[in-house]
Amino acid sequence: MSLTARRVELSLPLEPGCLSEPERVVPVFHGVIRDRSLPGVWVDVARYAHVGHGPVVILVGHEADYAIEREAAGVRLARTRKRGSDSLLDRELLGGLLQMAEILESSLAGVRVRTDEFRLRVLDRLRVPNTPEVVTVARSQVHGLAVALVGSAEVAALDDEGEPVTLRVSRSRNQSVSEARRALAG
Amino acid sequence: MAPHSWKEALGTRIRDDWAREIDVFETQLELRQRGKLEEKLFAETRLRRGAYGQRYDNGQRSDGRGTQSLAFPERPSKGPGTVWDAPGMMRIKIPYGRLTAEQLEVMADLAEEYSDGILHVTTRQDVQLHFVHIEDTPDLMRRLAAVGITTREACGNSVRNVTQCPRAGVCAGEAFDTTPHAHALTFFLLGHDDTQDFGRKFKISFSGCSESACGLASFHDIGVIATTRVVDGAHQEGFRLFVGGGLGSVPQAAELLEEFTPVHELLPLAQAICRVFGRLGERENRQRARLKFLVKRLGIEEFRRLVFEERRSLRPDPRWTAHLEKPADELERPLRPPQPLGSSEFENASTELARFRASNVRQQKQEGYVSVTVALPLGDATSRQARALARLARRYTGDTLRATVDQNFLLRWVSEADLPELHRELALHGLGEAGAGTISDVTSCPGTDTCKLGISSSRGLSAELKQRLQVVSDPNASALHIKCSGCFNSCGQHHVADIGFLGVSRVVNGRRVPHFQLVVGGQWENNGGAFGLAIGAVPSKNVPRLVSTLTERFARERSQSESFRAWVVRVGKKEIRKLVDAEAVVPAYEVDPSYYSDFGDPREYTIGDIGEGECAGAVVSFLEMGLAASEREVFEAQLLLEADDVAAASERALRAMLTAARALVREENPNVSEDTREVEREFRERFYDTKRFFDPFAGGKFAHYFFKALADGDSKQDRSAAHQRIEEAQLFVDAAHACQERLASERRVGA
Repeated sequence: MSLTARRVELSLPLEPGCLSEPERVVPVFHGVIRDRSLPGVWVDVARYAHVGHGPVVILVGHEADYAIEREAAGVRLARTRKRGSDSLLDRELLGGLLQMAEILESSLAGVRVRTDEFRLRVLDRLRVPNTPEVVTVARSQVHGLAVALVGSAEVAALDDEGEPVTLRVSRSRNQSVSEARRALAG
Repeated sequence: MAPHSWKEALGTRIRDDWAREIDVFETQLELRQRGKLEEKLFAETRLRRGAYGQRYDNGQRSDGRGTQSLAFPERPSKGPGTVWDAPGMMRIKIPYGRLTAEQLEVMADLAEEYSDGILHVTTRQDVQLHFVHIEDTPDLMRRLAAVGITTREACGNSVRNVTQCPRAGVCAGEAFDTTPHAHALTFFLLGHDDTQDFGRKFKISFSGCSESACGLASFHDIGVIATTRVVDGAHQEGFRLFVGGGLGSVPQAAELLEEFTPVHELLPLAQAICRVFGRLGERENRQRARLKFLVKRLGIEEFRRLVFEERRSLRPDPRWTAHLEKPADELERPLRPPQPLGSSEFENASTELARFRASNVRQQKQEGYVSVTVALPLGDATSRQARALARLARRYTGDTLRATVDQNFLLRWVSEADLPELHRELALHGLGEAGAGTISDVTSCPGTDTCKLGISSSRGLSAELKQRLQVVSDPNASALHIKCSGCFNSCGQHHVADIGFLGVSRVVNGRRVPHFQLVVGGQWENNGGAFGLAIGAVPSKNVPRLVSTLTERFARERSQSESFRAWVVRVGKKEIRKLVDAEAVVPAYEVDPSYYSDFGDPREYTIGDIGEGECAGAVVSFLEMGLAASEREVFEAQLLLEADDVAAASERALRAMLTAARALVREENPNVSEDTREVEREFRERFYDTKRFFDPFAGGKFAHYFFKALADGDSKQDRSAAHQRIEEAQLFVDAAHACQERLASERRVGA
């Protein structure tokens, strides 16, 4: 069984405390729309800083969204693929995430994005329902894809009631974002 | 094997008629894509399914320097000036705000999979999802339908979500529980023939009493307030029925139609009102097409006469009273036994819990139970929060909860002793905030965030106010209500707030500056008992300071038991205007450019992004909708034939002719039922015998196709016969279109 999904969210953690005011990202996201600095159609910036945990700022696009998310463990940068490929994990998804990470690091002083752990949420409950059998297959499949993209990696399933299939991919090295981008391209 | 589609996966979990409606909508999407469904008709069709437009969906967006074209793929439009691929809003009707834990969980999943992970509760007890692609909407609707939710008539010129006091059934002050009546009226009018021909939207609300604000009956097209009386020693339940109220740019208080409408008369009387509105309401000028304008034009006496005359002409319908014969509502039974919170537990309660209890918790009329408001900032909850709330509803309340008109959720039937634990768990998920119903619980419409009509950022302002007003310590100032609308349309209900704001724009120093008009004098109590008036505009960035000044002065100067409204009257609007004027100054751009952009948005402010609203939709008559439906059925018949389902193809072609014939008949006889024989008889008498359906060259030939198909019925047909029937159905539908044009021409000549 090979799993596919239309919508997936891939995210990276930010260094603890480096973005204590996530709304600083708002002008950066507006700049992406204005300057068309990323491929794709970018539509708007949505702000939800008033909601405790969850997305704080979202760059809404046609093919994908980017979001700064706040959760108990810290702040994350996420990319949600909405159309195009249906692979659980691929070069385009990770590459796009790293590209935005680079934009944030270069635009906002002090912001650093970690690359040694990324999290995949499969937002397609039809094709990838959260059942033990499917999670086992997804974990194995994502492990293979991750190794092909970034070298050695550990994949663990995160179990949280009612949530979509969620996998954590860990790597031993925390490369800089630009280094990780070069490695992915190479 | 895993299912390939949600349609397959959900199968029989969706009731047949709803499944069919969604299939029909999916076909309409396909027809529009192929250019076979006219743009205006498709727009009204999707609106009536709850799929609404959103800011920038014309493919244009200001970036702060100029207007950019958003490079969406080239596709047919999904409405006049509306790009197919531009994201839109999905409005999910939650009848009278009541929903189950399972329904909330499904909406949480939908927000993640099709939207941006946020559920937004509206002032009409709906839930809205933003940034949804039109092609995702059929599956989204299927997943909702599988848990008993339809989005039908959530937008467009239709009966919108019926609202109700969220405390119905548990409030000590109510005359009786209006829930069964709100439920019955909702589903009686949903899809009813008499509600398909409106020139504008139509809103209904229920309230259990006259004094509180929960039902807001005074600004609805139909406002229903429960009341009782004793006649010859017998206790009777009924309603004070109000009509013709509305907010919008010109608010109007509803007028009393009837002092006591017995419960069994509510549905037929509402039907009669809908008929009068459908027949006599304005259709050309949508700015004056709400019921309030008709009531004003006719006068309440004449309107009342017409309604009761119409009531007498209605064909009896068993649904009018079916709900009165059912046992009392069984959906909401408490899960846990009633147990008051002991005094020692109360004494040991944390400060947070004590604050929460003071503002968010109210005793029910059922001893030992409380209702708990879960305050949502600006009406927003994340998918994760919604799932957590659903779990808590299951654990503590017996599965149900209600969305409220002030954009929160209400958990009812909480055993009081569970309060500390419930609060602890709510807080874990960021849902335990105190302050519900206080000055910091600011209501806001979507404004410039997502609405095409938004002028200023009402949500940006509300978020700012919410943050600053957490610390208001004076209990009288803390009890005030603030409501913000992004424009004059009053979706944020600014007219009935103590302190209301509506977004406007001003040119200062040669540049646009976002402003808000201050509105005072409104009354939230007494079902929204009085409408405030605008005093003057201040730049958005000065609004928080103006609010501080107003609330501080009110707290300082208020005489004993004086309301804010009374205080405004006492100090005088001239004095309030001075406070406004003091905040009206805008510094030069070079001194402080922040005034020239809106809250939370770094772009230089513009009104260039304002688009055409879809609130009203285009006026599309029942006849036009009927003919479009018959065309779609002919198309479906072709698809069925392609799939070798000959019998179904033949049946669908016949149905297409029936649909077209009934749409024509209904133009003249609104009482016509869906009975095939009745439609045939009426069509024959009104259009065939009179030759009004006749083609100038072919005479009655196309009508004969219809009569022949009816005579043949569903008798076994071979492929060739089915093919012929489809062709004949198409010709009949075309002839119906021609007949429609002749009817319109006759009317023009008559006029």
